[in-house]
Amino acid sequence: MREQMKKMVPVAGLVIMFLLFAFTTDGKFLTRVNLQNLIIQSAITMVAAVGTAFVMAHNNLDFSLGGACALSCVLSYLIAGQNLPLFFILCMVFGIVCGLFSALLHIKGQIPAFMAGMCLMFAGRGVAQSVAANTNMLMVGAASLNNIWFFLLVLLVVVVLGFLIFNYTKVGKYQKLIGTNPKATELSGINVNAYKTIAFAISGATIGIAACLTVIRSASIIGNTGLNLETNVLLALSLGGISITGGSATKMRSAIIGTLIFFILNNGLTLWGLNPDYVDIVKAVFFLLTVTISIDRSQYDMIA
Amino acid sequence: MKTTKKLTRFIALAMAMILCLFTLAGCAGSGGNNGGSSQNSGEETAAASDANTETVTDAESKPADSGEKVKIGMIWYGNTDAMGGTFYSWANHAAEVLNVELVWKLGSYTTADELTDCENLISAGCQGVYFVPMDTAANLQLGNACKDAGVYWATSNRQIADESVLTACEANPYFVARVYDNSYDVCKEMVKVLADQGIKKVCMLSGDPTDAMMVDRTKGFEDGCSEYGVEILATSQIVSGDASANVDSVNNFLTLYPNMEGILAVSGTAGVGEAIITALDASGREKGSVKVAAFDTFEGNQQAFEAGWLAASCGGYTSECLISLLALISTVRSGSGTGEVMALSLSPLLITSAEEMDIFSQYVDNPEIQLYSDETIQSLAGDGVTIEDYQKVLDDWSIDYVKQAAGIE
Repeated sequence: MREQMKKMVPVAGLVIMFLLFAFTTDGKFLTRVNLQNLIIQSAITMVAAVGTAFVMAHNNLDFSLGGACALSCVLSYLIAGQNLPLFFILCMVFGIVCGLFSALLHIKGQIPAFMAGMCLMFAGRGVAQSVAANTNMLMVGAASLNNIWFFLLVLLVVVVLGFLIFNYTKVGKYQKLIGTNPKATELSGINVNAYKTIAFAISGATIGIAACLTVIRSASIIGNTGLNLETNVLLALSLGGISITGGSATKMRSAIIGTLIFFILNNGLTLWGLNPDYVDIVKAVFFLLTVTISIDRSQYDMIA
Repeated sequence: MKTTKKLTRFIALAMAMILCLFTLAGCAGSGGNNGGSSQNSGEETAAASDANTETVTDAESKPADSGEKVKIGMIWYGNTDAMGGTFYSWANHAAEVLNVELVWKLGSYTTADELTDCENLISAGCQGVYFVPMDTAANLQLGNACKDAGVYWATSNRQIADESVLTACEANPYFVARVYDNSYDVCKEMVKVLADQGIKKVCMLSGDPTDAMMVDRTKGFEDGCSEYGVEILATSQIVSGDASANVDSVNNFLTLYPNMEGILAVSGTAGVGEAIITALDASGREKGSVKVAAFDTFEGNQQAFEAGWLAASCGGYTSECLISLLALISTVRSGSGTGEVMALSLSPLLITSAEEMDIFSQYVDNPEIQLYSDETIQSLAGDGVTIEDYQKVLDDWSIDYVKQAAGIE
């Protein structure tokens, strides 16, 4: 019963926050434009979070997100230039390559996945900043897609596909199995490394899509493209109540609920006109409360 | 347990349905104006540039003078460093004097984040948005969001580097003002300071050739040198954020050009100024035998002046932020734009002595000090203020002005 209540916290938090802002902002929160903005604003993080959930399900962390996003954008621009369809395809390809590179370092190089991801993050950021210092990468044409329909469509496709793959295919189910007990999974004849690699590839694909959406929002690529993406995604997933140690407790809904909480809170605090000196404090308190109540502490039992 | 699970699912389902309902209701009405989300950055900006005669309608209908407090959205990089804190303090003081409400969003360093802030500020009911564009495209994206919502906007501290973006932005009827640093003239002045001290041979640390502001500064130094008869012996590009690489550059200058009498640096921030002085201190040369002219102020510049290494420095951009904000407030209050973007420039303060450096540190980059009187603020945010009025205030910005405003003899 208590565990079930805990699982309700992220959903309840989202509902309470939604209602709180709906009733305390003189109707500003519920305006058409604001709700559309919320969907568009949360899309980049939500898309990346869906892919990251696959990696987290098998008990790993992907820290490469921001750097991989910047790297995908820069490399795609250098090849495709202003050719948008080709640019988008290449972003996906380079995103997947980044994911596979992390997997390679982790599986073949026996490097912890979060370290492999961090290396890729720094490398990607470095490349992006070096190229941006010498190349003006304006993508004005991409901005024409900055509308609710496009973002909604991308979100629906990614979330629905992610949900189906995660819950109804071997790819998703085995990630949770690996996260619960990798040894047992291996002994049962499942190729653990292959499924881990697929998870990183999926995460890479979503990074590629997130990179496309970032360029659509920014109309340019700069050294800071995708800055803080990894932090936002991991925070959103934590707020959504994801199991940090992976396994069967990992749910795809964490990506959606957590991202919405993250962006609704940011939006609502602006609508309130809260003093900027207090914004981060309020956010921290809210995040701490949500995570403290909802986090799965079973992984800490051994430590105690 | 089963009941709780059902309850969870029910709440989740209800939540999803509410969101879908609002979303669909919202999307159904999004055929025309998309509010905060800019639909029209690409092709439409080109169209907008042809529509210079477009008149401001949405904002005109807004009740700027209906007794309600004017609300301005402020997208600013932070309030913890000297310049960030000073403008934060100046803007809040001006808002108090003018009875304007400011809504701040701090800490966004990408265009996507600035756009998110801008959309949220518009949703919060801001009638004007002020920001420092993180890159050229930010002008376009945030400008379109403001245009779609009928909200005025103004910028400072950055030039628009791309011609097509500049044209599109200038055609945006809600674009009130852009203020940028007149780095070129100040750089020429800095060369003159060196030339007046008898310096004839210099080496130069240049900036990123794709950064419009850096290109301006480099050009200013080059033109200043040819105008005042100073020879540039060698040029090396500044490596941003890598102090040791910059120390190496200065050491190379010292080794390869023993006849070098001065160093020009397009920027002294991010460790560059400190790196130059460190290299000179370690060179074994007599103090003051090489004179440095470095753009931007840096840690230890007071001592560098006193030691005789530093001959000229410059800084102080807070005025341009304030003027841009006041122009925005004035336009929002009057409820109608002039139909033309006010393009203003500010010459940063030229600092040529340890005494001036001390004044700069004490009175310019100091959030506790207000250098513009309440009367001046009132007059610059009222009706009928012209572009010339704003430019005059920016032109008056000098160390002498600071002394006078701070009451120093």
